[in-house]
Amino acid sequence: MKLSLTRRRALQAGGSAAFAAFALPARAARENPFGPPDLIEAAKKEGKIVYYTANFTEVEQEVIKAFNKRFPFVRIEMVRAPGGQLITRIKTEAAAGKLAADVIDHSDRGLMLELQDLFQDYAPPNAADYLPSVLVSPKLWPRVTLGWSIAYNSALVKNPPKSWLDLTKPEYGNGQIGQVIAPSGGTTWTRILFERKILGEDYWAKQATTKPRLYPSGAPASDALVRGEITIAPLLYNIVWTKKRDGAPLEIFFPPEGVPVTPMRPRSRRPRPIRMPPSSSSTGASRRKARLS
Amino acid sequence: MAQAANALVLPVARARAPRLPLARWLWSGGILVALAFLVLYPIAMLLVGALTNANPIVEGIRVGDLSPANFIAVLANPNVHAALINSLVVCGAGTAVAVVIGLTFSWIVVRTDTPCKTLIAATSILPLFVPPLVAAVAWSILGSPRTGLLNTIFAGFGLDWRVNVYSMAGLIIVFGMYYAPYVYMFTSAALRNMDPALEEAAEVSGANPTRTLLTVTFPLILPAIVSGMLLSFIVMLGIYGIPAVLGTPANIPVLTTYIFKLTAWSPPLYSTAAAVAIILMVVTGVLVWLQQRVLSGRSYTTVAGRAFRPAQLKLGPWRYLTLALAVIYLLIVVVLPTLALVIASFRKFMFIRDIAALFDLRAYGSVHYDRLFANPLVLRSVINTIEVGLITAVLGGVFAFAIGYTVTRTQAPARKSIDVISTLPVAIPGLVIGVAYLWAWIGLPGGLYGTIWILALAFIARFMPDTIKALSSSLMQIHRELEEASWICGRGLVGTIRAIVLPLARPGVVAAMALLFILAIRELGSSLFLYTSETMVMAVLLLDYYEGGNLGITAAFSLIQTMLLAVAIAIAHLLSRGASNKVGLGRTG
Repeated sequence: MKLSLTRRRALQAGGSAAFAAFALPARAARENPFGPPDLIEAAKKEGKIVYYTANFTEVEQEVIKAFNKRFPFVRIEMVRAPGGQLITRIKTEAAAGKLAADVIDHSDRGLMLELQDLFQDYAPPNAADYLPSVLVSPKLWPRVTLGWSIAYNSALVKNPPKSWLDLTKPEYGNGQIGQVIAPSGGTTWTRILFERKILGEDYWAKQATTKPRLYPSGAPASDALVRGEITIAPLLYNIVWTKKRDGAPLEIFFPPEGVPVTPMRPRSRRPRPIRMPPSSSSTGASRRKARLS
Repeated sequence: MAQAANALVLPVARARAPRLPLARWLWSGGILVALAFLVLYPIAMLLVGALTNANPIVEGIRVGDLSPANFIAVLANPNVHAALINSLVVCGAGTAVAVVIGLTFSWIVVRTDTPCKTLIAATSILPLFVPPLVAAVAWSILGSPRTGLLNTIFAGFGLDWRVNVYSMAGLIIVFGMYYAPYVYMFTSAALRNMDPALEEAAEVSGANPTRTLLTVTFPLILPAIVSGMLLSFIVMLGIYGIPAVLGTPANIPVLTTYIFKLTAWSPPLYSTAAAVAIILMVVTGVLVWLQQRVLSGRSYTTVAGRAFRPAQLKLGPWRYLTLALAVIYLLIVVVLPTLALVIASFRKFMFIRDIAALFDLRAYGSVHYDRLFANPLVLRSVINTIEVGLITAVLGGVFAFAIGYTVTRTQAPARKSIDVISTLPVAIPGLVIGVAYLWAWIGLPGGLYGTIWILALAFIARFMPDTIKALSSSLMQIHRELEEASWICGRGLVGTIRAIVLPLARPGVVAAMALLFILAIRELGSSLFLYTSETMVMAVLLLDYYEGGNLGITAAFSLIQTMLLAVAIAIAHLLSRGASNKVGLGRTG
């Protein structure tokens, strides 16, 4: 309890800094890529962020490790839960006045929009680089661009598919294909709608004839692919790429019909690592930010 | 005969505990208030959740919103029908397998001259302590149809055998193997307490051993078989880990996996999940009621009160066959799964094309352990788990003792209500009650939410029936005369408990606390909504790793959890050595 009070006090001090961060033009942001020095100093004093995420623990540990290289003085305390459970936790905690999170990362924009009153306006230093159409609220910020690819186990598949439509062919039937179910989260809904809009209204029915194996999310599906439980699967590139990098027998390609993505920053001049804004650390309980991945 | 004996002791039995009517009412009232907080209030929240479409904390509870519409919609949902039927089939057939295994081993241990019986007895109980998720992950590594190690080995030896645990049969056998100890514990106790004179009479009348077994022995212990059977069925019904890992790839949903899916979906369907949970509770509740009835009938069928030693069947050379059966069971249930976890935890990728690849040492390394120990949450979760286990064991043990003593040894008012309410949690799977605990307790003043204590409270509530059961049997073994003697000598109630009851019941109390500690280490379901970043426990982190799709790290962490459990069991065994009651009527989630 004491901790959250302390944070609330720190927040009062940090309010103007947050506004300043929002007002920074793109050029200033490049000069101070992590926010103004007083904000970083405030973060140092507070020393902790409680971070809720629906992403996978291991992936987030990597992000936290990278963040802590730059900001070793800010401890990240992470709570990870599947999307639906996380939303329930956030809603219940908030209603009881005990929302512990400082930053929330969730993949479902629709669900987060319902909760936007919980968060404070915020803008990262590079706010001007974001595509305006992805900014649904000044309280919610896209965090990462995720794109769908098709991956296959190269040790087992001799005649790999080459397109989304190939996945409806009988030769890939009988449980060879793994599919992540639609309600898994926001990114999966993106792929599902892409299939209906671009590949045709009957794509789902055609796909069902191959009797795909269903997975609750991308991570267990990617593991099953590596093990050879399934041999082909549409998967988010970032999930399978790390496994391929580490030597797993995988091949990945982007199908010619198109790639369902959750776009973020097409105006970015050079690729930048994903990072948690340091300004968030100096805020606190009532100055929470939500991030959409 | 027994009545005559009772009549003889009546004058002494008239001695009563010191009469303090107000204190007795206050005592019972206090226990009832605590039970209402721990049990009734969360269940009420769950019911509200099922009868509305709202989160009762967020939207508040309005009586006008309560409607059976949501519940009726769930009852009409074909997905729920499929999950319910699958649950009943899997758990029913799994129970049948458990009965065959449990009964066989209890007969081998108690009634035959098979060598190494201590080892067999330990083996028969051991699977109870393997967390379901760990067992399932290990069996998916061993028995997956495409990549299972067993299938790779069979193919390597040119054998045409195939194992497929991703199937109804696979689920049934794994359930049967891991929940056979419930049947074993009930039936071995009954066999031990049975008067051999009845079997001797059958033999004298010319019946061969098999006929005696089938027509005399088993019918006599039928109540024990039925109660063991019902308990294992109830426990299986509430298990998430095994059907999640083995049933999901084969598209076999059961009620628990369906509930979990509803809570994890985006958007979450909590009221639907709560309504499905109510169905699960009703099925379980009916079975618990049946079990209670069967248990109450037990005293009519087993003969007690005389000292005897159950006759042991001399198996001759066949005794090595029974020993071999036990060794095979040990191999299948403990050794092979552990080996699978060791291989998976040291292998960089679990893609094993053929048997030669299995022995390719270049594919092995400590990468998963390195990653595991680099995660600060791992150490924290181990510390938190031990801490919450200790708090649960001590507080839960004391509370269960208070309830057990009140119900079995006193004339306190409302004893029956206390007994019934404290048994209720047995009918509610952890996965279901987890969110109800969150709804019920988050609003409490005093900052309970976000601490280890809220987890401990949930575990105390959830495992109360198990603890009380473990304690009550040892309390019942202390003859009332001893307490009465103490009262006659002028000691008060508290003094008597301290000087007479506690020292005598100590082994039972220690065993119950150890059981609570072990169950708390394994518990997943009720932790899911109550942990925070600072109170992460091992079971939740294990699920995280499993869901995160890294089998290697999951296997490595499973082994660490198993080792911690093994140490806990060894300590519990040392502490409760000599205790006559059984450790381990535990449930899991």
